[in-house]
Amino acid sequence: MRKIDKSKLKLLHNKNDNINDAPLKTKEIGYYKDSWLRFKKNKASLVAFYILLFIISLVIIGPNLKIYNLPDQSSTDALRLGNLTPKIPFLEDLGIFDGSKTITRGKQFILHMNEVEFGEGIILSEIPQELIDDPEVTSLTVTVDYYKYKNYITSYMPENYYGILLSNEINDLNEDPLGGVRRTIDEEQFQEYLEKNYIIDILTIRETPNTTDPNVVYYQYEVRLDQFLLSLDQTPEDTYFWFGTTNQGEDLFTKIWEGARISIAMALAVLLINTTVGLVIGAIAGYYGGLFDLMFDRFVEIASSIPFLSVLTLLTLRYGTATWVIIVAFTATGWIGSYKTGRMQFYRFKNREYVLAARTLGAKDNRIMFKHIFPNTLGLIVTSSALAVPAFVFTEASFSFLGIINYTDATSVGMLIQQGQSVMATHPHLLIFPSLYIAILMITFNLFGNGLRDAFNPSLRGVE
Amino acid sequence: MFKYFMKRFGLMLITFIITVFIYFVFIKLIPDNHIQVPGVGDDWYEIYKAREGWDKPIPVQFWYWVRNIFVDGSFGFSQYLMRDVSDAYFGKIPASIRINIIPYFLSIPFSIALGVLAGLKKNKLTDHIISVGIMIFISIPFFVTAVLSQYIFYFRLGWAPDYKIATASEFQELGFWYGISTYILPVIILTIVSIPGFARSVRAELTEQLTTDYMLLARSKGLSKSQAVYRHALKNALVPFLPPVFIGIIGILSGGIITEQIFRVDGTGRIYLQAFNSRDYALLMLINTFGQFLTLLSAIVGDLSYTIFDPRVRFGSGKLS
Repeated sequence: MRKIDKSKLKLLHNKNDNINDAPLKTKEIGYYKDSWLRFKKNKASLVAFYILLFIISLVIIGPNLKIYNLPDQSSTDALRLGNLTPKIPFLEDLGIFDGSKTITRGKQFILHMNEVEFGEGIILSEIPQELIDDPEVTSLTVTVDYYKYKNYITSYMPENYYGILLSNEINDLNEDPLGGVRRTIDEEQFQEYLEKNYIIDILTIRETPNTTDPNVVYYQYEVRLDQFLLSLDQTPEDTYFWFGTTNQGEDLFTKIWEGARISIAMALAVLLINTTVGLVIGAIAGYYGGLFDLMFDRFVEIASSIPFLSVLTLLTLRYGTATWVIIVAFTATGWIGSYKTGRMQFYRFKNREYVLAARTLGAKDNRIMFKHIFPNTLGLIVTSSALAVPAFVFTEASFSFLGIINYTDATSVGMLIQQGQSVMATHPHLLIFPSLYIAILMITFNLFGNGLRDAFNPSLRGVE
Repeated sequence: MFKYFMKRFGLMLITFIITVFIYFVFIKLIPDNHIQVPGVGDDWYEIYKAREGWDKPIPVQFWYWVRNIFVDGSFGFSQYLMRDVSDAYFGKIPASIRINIIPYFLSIPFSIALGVLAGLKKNKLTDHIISVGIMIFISIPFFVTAVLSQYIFYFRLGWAPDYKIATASEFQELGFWYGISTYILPVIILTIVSIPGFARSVRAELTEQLTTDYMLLARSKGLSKSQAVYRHALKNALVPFLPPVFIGIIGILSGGIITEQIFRVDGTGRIYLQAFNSRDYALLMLINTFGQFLTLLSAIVGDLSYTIFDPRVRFGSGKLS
C-alpha cells in the first residue's frame, strides 16, 4: 500500500452534527455460529452428535477401563477362560447379561455335576424327574451359570470325562480322564496354594528321590486347582466380563475399543493426509491453471479409474498388512476427492471481484490463496471430512472382515466380527457385540455428518 | 453427436489400456519365484515360460499377454490351479448372476416406490419412517446386516433352511425346491440393502422437482396436484435414474465379494478371495482386467443412455465437448 502523508488529510465531519445512527444492539452471527445454531435445530443430528461424543470418549478410555492382563501373562490360563458369556453388574439382577447360557451335555455328566459339592449352584434350571428316569434320554439341556460351569470344567472335571472313560473301556486304553484338570505342583507351590485355598482336592502325592541330598525328600503333588482363583484371584461370582470373552480368553469389551481406537486413529491419519495432499495440489492446479492443470487432470483421470480394491490387493500382496500399508492404500487414490473440491473452489473464486480487489491492493498469491479463497473451501472440507471418517471405518471393517486387511499387530472390529461369525451358532455374543458397535457407530456418524452438511450449506437456510 | 461420442470413447479406451498396463507392471513387480519340485519333470513350466515370456522384460510380457488374449483367448496360466485362468474365472460368472439378478430387479421398483412416497409426503410421518429406514440400512455395513440375518433367521429362529446357499450336489440330493428355498434369505437381504441408496436419490430428485417453477405453472393452469405430479414432476425426476439402471445390469456380472463369502456362493467374488489368498497373480490380473472392462462398458452404456433418455444432453452435446 502506498504511504500517504497524514497532514494532507482533512477531517470533513463537523463535531456539532448530530449522528442519528445507533450501534446495533444484537450480536453478530458469523458463518460458523450460524451453522452451529442451525445444526442444533436438527434434533436427530444433535442426539447423534452426543452419542458420538460418548463413543469417542469410550474409544479413548475404553481399553483401560478393565484391568485384565491375563492373556499377556499366560495365554494357556487365559484360554481356559475363553468364550465366557457377557455379565454386567446390576443388569444381572434383571435377568439379562447374567452370564447364563443354555447348554446340552451328556446326561451322566450333568447329573454328576448336579450332585457333587463343587458343582453346586451351576445348574440354574430344573431338571425334570421323568427325563432323569428315562433311560433312553442320553443328553440333557440345562441353563447354567456359565462362569461357574467354565470353572467346573477347567478345574474339576473336563467335559470329555465320560467320553474318555468309555473309549478306555472299548479300546482297552488307559488314558487319564482327569488329564485336563490334573496339575502337578511342587512343595513350595503347594504350600502357597494351600494358604490361598486354591486347592480343591489332592489326587496323588509322589515322592521323588533327591539326587544331591538323599535325606531330604521331594514331594510332587497332583491336585485339582480352582481355575478362577488361580488365574484371577476371584470366584466366578465376583468375575465380570461385560461383553464376555473371546475364544482366546481376552476381554471382548477391551478388544472392541482397542479395535475401534485403531480404526478411528487410522481414519484420522488417512483423512489428514488426503485432505492436505489433495488441497495443496488442487489449490495449485485450480489457482494457476495452465499446462500443469491440464496435465494433472489427465493424470487424475487415469488414477481415479484404478479401483481401490486393486490398489489394496497389490500393496498387501507386496508389503503385507501392517497398518502403514493400509494407510498408504487408502491415501494412494483417496486424495483425489479433496483435490477435486479444492481445484473446483480455487478455480471458481480466483476471478471473483474480491480477489481482484485484494490483488489490486498488492496482495501476493500466497495471501490470496490462504486468506481469501481458502476460507471459502473450509465448509466443504469440514462436511466431506465428517463423512469421510465413517466411510473409512466402513471400508476398513468390510475388508478386514473378508481377510484382505489382516493386521499382524492389531485386531480390528471387522476381524472380531469375522471371528464371531465362525462361531455364531455356539457363542453368539462374539458376533453380536462387535456388530452392534459398528452399526451404532455408523448410524450416528452418518446422522452427524448429514446434519453438519446441511448446517454448513447456507443455501438451505430458512428452507426447512 | 457421433463425433462427441467417439471422442469420449477413445479417451476411455486409452485410460483403460493405461490402467491395465499399470496393473500388469505392478503385478509383475511382485516377487514370484518358481521352485522346481525335485525329481519331477518341469515341462509345463518351460512351455508356459516360452508362451508367456516369463523370462523377458515386463513390456514384452505385456505384449505376449495381449497377443495370447487375441490369438488363443487365453488370459494366462495359473500355476496354482494348473489350468488356464479364463476357464476357471468365466465359468463362475453364472453363479454370481444367479444370486444377483433377482435382488437387482426387485430392488428397483421398491426403491422407486419408497422414494416417490417419501418425496410426496415430505416431512410427514410416512417420510420420517422411510427416511429412518433408509438411514439405518445405508449406514450399517452390508456384511453386518448379512451376518446378523444369518444368525437371527437360521440359528435363532430357524426360519431359513440353511445359512448358506445350496451347492449343486445339495440340489440333487435334497431336491430342487430345497435348493431354491436356500436362496430366499440372501435374495431378501440383498434386495433390502440395495434399496436405500437408490430410494434416497429418488426422494431428493423428486422433492427438487416439486419445488420448480414449472410445477407452479402446472398447478396454476388448473391441474390437480396428482395430475401435475404424475404428468410432469415424476417424469423429470426419474429420467436421471434410467442410465444407472442399465449400468447396474453390467454390475451384476461381477459378483460381490462379501455376499459370496458370507453365503458361500461359488462365484466370481469368492474366486477373487481364493486368488488373493493363494497369490495367484495370473488370475488376479484377469479379474482386474475384467473389472476394468466392465467399468469401461458401463461408462459407455451410461453415456449412450444419457443421450438417449435426456434430450438436454443430446441437444447440448456440442457445448459439452
